[in-house]
Amino acid sequence: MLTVEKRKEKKIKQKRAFTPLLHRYLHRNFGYVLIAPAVIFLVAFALYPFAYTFRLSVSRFIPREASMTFVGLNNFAELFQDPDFLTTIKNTFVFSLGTLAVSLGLGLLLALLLNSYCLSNTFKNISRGLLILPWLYSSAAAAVTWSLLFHPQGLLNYFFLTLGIAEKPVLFLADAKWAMLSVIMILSWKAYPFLMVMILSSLQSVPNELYDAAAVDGATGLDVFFRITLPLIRPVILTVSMLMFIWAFGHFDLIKIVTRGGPGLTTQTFPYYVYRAAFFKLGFDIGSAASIIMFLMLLSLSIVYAWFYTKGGLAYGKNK
Amino acid sequence: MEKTSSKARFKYSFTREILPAAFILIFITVLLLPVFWMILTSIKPKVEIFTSPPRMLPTKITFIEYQKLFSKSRYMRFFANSWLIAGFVTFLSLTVGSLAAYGFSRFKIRGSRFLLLATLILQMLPPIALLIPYFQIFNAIGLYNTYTAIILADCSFTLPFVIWMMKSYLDTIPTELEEAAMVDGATRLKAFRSVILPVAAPGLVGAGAFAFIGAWNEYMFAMILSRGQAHAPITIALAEYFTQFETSWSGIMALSTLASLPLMILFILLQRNVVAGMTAGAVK
Repeated sequence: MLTVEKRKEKKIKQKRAFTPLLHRYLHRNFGYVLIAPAVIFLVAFALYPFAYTFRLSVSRFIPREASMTFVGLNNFAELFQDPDFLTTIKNTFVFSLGTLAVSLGLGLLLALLLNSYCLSNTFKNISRGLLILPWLYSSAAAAVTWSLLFHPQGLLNYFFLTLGIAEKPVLFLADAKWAMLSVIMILSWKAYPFLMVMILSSLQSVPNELYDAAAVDGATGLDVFFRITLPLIRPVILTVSMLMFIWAFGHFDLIKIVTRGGPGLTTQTFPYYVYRAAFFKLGFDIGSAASIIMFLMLLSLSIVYAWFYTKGGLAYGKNK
Repeated sequence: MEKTSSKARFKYSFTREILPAAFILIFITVLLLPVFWMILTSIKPKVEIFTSPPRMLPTKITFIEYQKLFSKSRYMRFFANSWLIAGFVTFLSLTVGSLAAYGFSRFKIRGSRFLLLATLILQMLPPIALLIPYFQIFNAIGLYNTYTAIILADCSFTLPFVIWMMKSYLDTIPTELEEAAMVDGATRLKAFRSVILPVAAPGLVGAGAFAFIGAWNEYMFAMILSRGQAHAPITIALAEYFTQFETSWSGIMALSTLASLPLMILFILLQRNVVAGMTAGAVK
């Protein structure tokens, strides 16, 4: 008579002997099994489309025949000969730098304020929560809301008129002089919470002993800020600035919804150019070429930044 | 603790205490003005929207615009689509993403550093670069104007983020936990489900919230991959107003409030996790 134990052993042995090869393979390479779905998805929906864009950018695409013939760098040459394209590049840099400047200034200022040790923690938490709200809004919702504020009979024009800054209502989104500034404001409004939160957490990681030591040495508030705080948070500031620049550079939604390139071409940025070129004007091949140019620009910017960060000694501690 | 130390450092003074608070309140008022204005305009009677001087608070509160919204099935369809799309994107990103993160975190995978770097670079890629290929690919597969296409397109940017965030989070959880569970006879998967997941819950919530917000607010892919209101999220409905001839400002403010309300509630409930999600996005 087999005891319970012996029966169990026999069952396990039988099970192991009949474990299919597949099961054992999966078990031994379990890590790869786990990452497989994600990798497959990313290869299919990120890598492949990207390679497809590359291929399109060096081809001539005829929609009716769905044919792609290799034409080398013709599309790129065509792009650089388009004066609109060059204006677009300039606009995009203005837009990105403007958004970065405003949102960084706001974010930094708010982070410093929220880091004050004199305020109660509840007050700081609630304030921080409220100040993060703009980040939650979609570009569409922000566009709609700000359009109301920018309305000729809206709030901002009321201030402008009563304060005498303007004599007639300013068409913020239709006036070539104001359009770029207006969209920069809207995007900065959406963007500053991210910078604020990142800088705040970086500020909070500065050890208090440094401030104590500075006080003992009789440092003034300004001294403390420029000599202690700023160098310590500089890496984070640089990193998030880079991220913000890239994000504003590639941002499509707001321009499309609010100004569609602006009066004339004043607010046309790179992504919108790609969209228009691909779907309205010149075709997918030129549009893809424009995307590739944009990608290469951002890539080189990131490489330059990474090089500066590691070798150039912008990281904390290497610059003293 | 901190208070006594600060007392020893600087003298408590009016400027140090009241000034920052005053500035913060001023900033809150100014920066949240669009939010307040949006909500208040949606409950104002139409004649009060453009008064001179502009009045913030309505004299009469009317919910007629919301009644109109809820009765029109068109806008409700947009709203429901948003829930569906964002829900699926969150679910898919979290499941596939956290499994992958677990794999990267606990197993030796050849080329893992390269793969993770690749996902990082992917996040820096502007989504516009994927616009043209997605349009062509989804058309070719026959998935144009379906939920599937939009969901998959949104996952392209939420998934890398979830993987990154969950991997760094899981790295902080000691492997002893699941090893203990496996010694007690659980399989890897069961250990993952019963032991790791509960501990990693905050990270999951943060990543999930980020994915949900990203998918809910997404406009570009939804615009290019859909036509009409059948499968389009609510961002499309909002953007439509700009091309309409008649603009009912209170109506669109109501729609905008409706579109933003779920996210605001989500944020109020999960603030700390959402912020953690934000910060994890830039931690390298």
